Amino acid sequence: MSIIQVEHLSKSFKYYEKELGLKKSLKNLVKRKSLIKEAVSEISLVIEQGEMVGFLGPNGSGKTTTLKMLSGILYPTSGQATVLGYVPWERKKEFKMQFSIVMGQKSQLWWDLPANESLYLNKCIYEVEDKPYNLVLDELTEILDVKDLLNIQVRRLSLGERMKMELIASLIHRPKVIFLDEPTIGLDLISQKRIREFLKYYNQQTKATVILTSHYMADIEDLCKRTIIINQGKIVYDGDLRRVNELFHTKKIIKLQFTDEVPRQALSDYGVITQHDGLNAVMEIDKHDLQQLSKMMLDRFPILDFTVEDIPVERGIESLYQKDGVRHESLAEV
Amino acid sequence: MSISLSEIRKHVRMFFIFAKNSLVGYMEYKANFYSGLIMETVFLLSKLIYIIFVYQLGIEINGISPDQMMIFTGTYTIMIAIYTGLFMDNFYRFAGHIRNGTLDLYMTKPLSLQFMISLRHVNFAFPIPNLIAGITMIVLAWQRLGIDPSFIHLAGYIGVILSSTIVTYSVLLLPQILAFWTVKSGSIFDILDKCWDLNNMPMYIYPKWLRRIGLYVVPILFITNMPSVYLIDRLDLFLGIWIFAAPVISLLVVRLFWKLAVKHYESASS
Amino acid sequence: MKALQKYKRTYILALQNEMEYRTDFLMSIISGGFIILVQCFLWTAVFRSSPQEIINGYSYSQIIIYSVLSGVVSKLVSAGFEGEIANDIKTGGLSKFIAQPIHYFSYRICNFFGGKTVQTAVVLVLFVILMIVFTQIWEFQLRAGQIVLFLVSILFGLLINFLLFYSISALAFIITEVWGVFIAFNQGVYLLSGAIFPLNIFGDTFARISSYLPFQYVVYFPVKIINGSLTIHEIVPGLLVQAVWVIVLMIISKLSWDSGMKKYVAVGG
Repeated sequence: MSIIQVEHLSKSFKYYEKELGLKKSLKNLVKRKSLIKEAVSEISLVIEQGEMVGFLGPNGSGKTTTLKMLSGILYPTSGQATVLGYVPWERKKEFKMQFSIVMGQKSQLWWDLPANESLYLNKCIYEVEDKPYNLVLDELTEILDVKDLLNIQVRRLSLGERMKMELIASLIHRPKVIFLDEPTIGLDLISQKRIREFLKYYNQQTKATVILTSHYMADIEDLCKRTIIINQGKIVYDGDLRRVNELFHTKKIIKLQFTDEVPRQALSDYGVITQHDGLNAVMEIDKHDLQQLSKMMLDRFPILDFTVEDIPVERGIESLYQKDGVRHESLAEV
Repeated sequence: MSISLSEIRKHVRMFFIFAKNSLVGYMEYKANFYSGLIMETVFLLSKLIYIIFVYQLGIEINGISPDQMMIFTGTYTIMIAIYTGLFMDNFYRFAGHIRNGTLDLYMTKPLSLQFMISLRHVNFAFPIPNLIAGITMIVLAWQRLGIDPSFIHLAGYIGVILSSTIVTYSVLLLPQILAFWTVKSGSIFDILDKCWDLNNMPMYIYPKWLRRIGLYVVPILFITNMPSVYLIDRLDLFLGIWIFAAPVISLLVVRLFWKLAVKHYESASS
Repeated sequence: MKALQKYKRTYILALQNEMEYRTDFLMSIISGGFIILVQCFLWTAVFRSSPQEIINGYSYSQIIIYSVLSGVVSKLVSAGFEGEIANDIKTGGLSKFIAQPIHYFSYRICNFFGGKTVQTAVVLVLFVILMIVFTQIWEFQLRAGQIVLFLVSILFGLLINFLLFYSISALAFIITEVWGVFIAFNQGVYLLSGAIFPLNIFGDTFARISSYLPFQYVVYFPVKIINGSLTIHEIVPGLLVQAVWVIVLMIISKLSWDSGMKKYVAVGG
């Protein structure tokens, strides 16, 4: 059975229009106009045990809202979902004992206390016995290299260290499902990398199912085989991130290095030149003709080095965002 | 929701861990503790102004003598100690949990959300001066009025205080729950604070209709008046029953309202 | 004046913000009226139980008028930003003011008066109604000059109260969990400003002490102007004392903030 099943999940928010200007404010005092925003609409997906899935999308696309519904924080407006066989928003204790959510911008640690007090608190909340608790704590602090920091007040820790504590706190009870909402937000590159490595390791070791949202491409690219791209509340892509480009781009990038100067005109027969300085050139070439054309070029030019690359994923995603999710159906089959 | 014994035990244990954490927090900031202590003493003095005023007048107000008045003020001060010690910190932070979205995190914990939000912090600084002053006033007035210091009287008084504590929790938590609907709830707290000040004076200075509302509808007057009324022998049968019924009913109401609010909860950030 | 533009904007934003939370605004008015009611009940009970007509120099009508007006005025001048300041200091939000070309003090005062503008409008309407009621029930007269002086003293009162709370806010630099201190201070000011009982009710010694403190100029003094218990020869020096207090408190707030800023180490937020 699948760990997470979501069918036609939707969530809309009511909010009040805020108009600028004094006169409008005065008017608001009397009557406020309410508007409805569809944060998530008709999302369906299935996630198997041990999968590590990334939710990617611009700000306000509905990633967090989806995660909140899956963790039972929000009731959906319509649709169904089960996580570990439970309906999340029924908030059953048995369900809560088996999952965990980490929000990059919200802390569950007691600010003024040493981190180990908060960890101990979670031990009690999740009813973890002493032995497994010490085992998990030893293991996690070892991997994350924060053993010495346990007795330091949380407020004195750096952002990266705090995030590590945050992660430990949420893993004390060995959750089967872990939701991570922007776990690397605001962190420096090294900390980001550390956290990523840890998550990868943890996922492999424990076979826990992980859903991760981020707007850092690197997070998702590095961690998740499967990426779900959400834009304007809809799933616009579900699959391997590296294959996003196959949908839009039939081109490849080749980088050439010559032993002698090659004029621009000579190259232009083979494809679009994006960079050229005589000894080096970068070109975009149609995928289907790649083999034939590269052979021709190797024969014709004094080529020292020759590499073929994919078009960067960012460009594919950009195209997805621009499409506003209209191609949802056709994409889902890929 | 079924309430099992082991769940209750877990929550009690959690409460002590929360209390311990609060205490550790105080240890980390000792200066903060002392300044809180001093300030609360100032606060206490400003409340005592009423009883000073009454003694200065030296007359019975609506049939209540200054000494009897001191029973009321003493009880009031003890109730302040209980309120500030157990509840105030939590209630004060309530809206913040919603605004910052930390409530979202608590919601996913296998522990009663209401418990976690409303009994998370214990204040050790504020109750100290109030407890000392309150008990002193009660002992003083007790002697001056010549009330028999029997076990029955003492146990009864403590019992009614307990009943009042539950009512305090319910009545003061109730408006905080409104923060689920309006985010900026500063004035909700304000209104409460003022409501609470009604207890500065015995309920007998208020007209009958207000007394009835304050006892039976929004039992804010219940809090300090019932223990005092018990001591100065003004209790009738109906009020006697109410001492047992009010905490049960008010706790039930606040629980239901809480459930309703959580159901309607939409977190601050979409 | 480009430089002033940002402060004007702050003022207007605060004003709009105050409008936005209309339910809370309404609540605060209700809660203001609530405490007045308690005072009135107390005094009614006292006067009913007492054989005397005059208690501590006040007749029944005088004390009721005082209670009502002091309640309204104390509501009007109340601060309430000290928590926000503490938060700015604690979470490092203050850092952005250090970086930006906007002075924190100016920002706060514009913000304060922005919010107060809305409340003043409502309170003034209330005031007019109350005055009409009082003049109808009791023989109570009001002159135009009195109202002008009253408004001036209110403005000073607002400034004094702002400065008091702004100065005390600097405590957040040295105390992390400072809110308890603020509540207590709030209550202290409330009491010493004469919002609960008129200050001269506790005897001459108390009255003399409080005349050396700034607090009575926040509520007690303005209310006594409109109450009609002060002559013009008492009002003018009083206004001058208010002005002096504004200057003194400005210096105090400057000192407290300067020393606080030195200690300020932004916590990475």
